[in-house]
Amino acid sequence: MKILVVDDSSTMRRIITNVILQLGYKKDDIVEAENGQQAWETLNTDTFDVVLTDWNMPIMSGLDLVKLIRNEEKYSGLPIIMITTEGGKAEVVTALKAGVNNYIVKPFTAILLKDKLNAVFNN
Amino acid sequence: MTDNEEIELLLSNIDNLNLEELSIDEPTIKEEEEEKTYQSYMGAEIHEEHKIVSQLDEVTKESEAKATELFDIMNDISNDLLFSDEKVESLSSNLNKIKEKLNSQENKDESLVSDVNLAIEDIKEIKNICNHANNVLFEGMSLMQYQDINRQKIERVVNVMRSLIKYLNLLFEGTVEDNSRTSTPSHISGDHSNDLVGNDEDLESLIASFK
Repeated sequence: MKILVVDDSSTMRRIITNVILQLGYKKDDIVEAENGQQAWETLNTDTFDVVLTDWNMPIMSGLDLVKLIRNEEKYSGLPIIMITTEGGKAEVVTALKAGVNNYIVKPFTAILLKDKLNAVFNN
Repeated sequence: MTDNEEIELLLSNIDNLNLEELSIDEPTIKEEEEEKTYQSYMGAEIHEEHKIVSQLDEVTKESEAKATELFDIMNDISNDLLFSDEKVESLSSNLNKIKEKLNSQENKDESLVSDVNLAIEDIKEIKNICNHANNVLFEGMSLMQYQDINRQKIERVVNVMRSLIKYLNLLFEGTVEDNSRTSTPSHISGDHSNDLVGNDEDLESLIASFK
C-alpha cells in the first residue's frame, strides 16, 4: 500500500504520517510532497493507492491537483481525500465536484482520519 | 539584595548621581551598521522590525521551524516509551516463567510466589502508564495542527494587506515619475513654526552674519 501525503506544512505532513503509522503502515509506504506540482510529478513516477492532499498550497493548489488527477484516465480509480482548513459548505461542494472521495476539515482527530482511511482501503 | 531593592536604592539616591561618572557603552560597530539599515522616507524611520509583512512572514517561518523541533522531541519521547514497553513486556514474560517454575515446585516458598505476583502486577501498571503516556503524547502531536491553522490565518491577513497595498498604489498612481517630482520644502510661509525667517530684515541680517 502506497500513500501520497501532500501539504505545504511540514508539521501537518508529520501529523498525518504519524496517524498512518499508527494504523500499522511502514514509513516506506508513505511519500510526501510539498505542493500540488511536486505531488503530480511524484504520481507520474510511482504507483499510489491513495492521495491525501491539502487545498491551499503554493505553486499548485490541492484543488488543481485533484482536477489534474481526475482528468487522467489512468488515475480514474485513485482515491483522494482532501484535508484542509477550508471549512465552508461551498468549498466542500467544490472539492467533491472536482472529484475528491472524502473531505476532512482541520483540526481533525486521529480517529476520524483513521476511519476515513480505513473506509477508502476497504473499498 | 533583590533587583527591586536595588532599583529602589538607586531611585532614592538619584539626586546624588553624577551622570558624567556613569559609564555609557559606546555603540559597537555592528550596532552602528544596524542603525544604517533602517530606511528613511519623508522623515519617517523604518526599521526591519517595523516592516509588517516581512515580520509576519518571519513569524510563520519561525513557528514552523520550532514546531518541527518540538515534533522531533516528542517523537524521541514516543520512541523511548515504545522501547520501555518492549522491555516491560520482556520482564513480564520472564516473571511469568519464574512464577510457573515456583508453582510447579512441591515445597514452594509462598512468600516468594506472592512477591513474584506483586511484581507482575507492578509491571502491568508500568505498561499501562507507558501506554497512557504514549496516547497523551499522540494527542499533543495532534494539537500541533493549530500551528498550521494559525499560520494560514496569518497568511490570510498578509494577503489582505498586500491586496490593500496594491489597491492604494493604484489609487495614488500619478502621471509624474517620483524622481521627476519637485522636492518638498521644509518650511513654507504660513507654517506654525518658530524657525521661519520672520521678515526681510531678519533675512538680511541672517545673510549678513555669514559674510
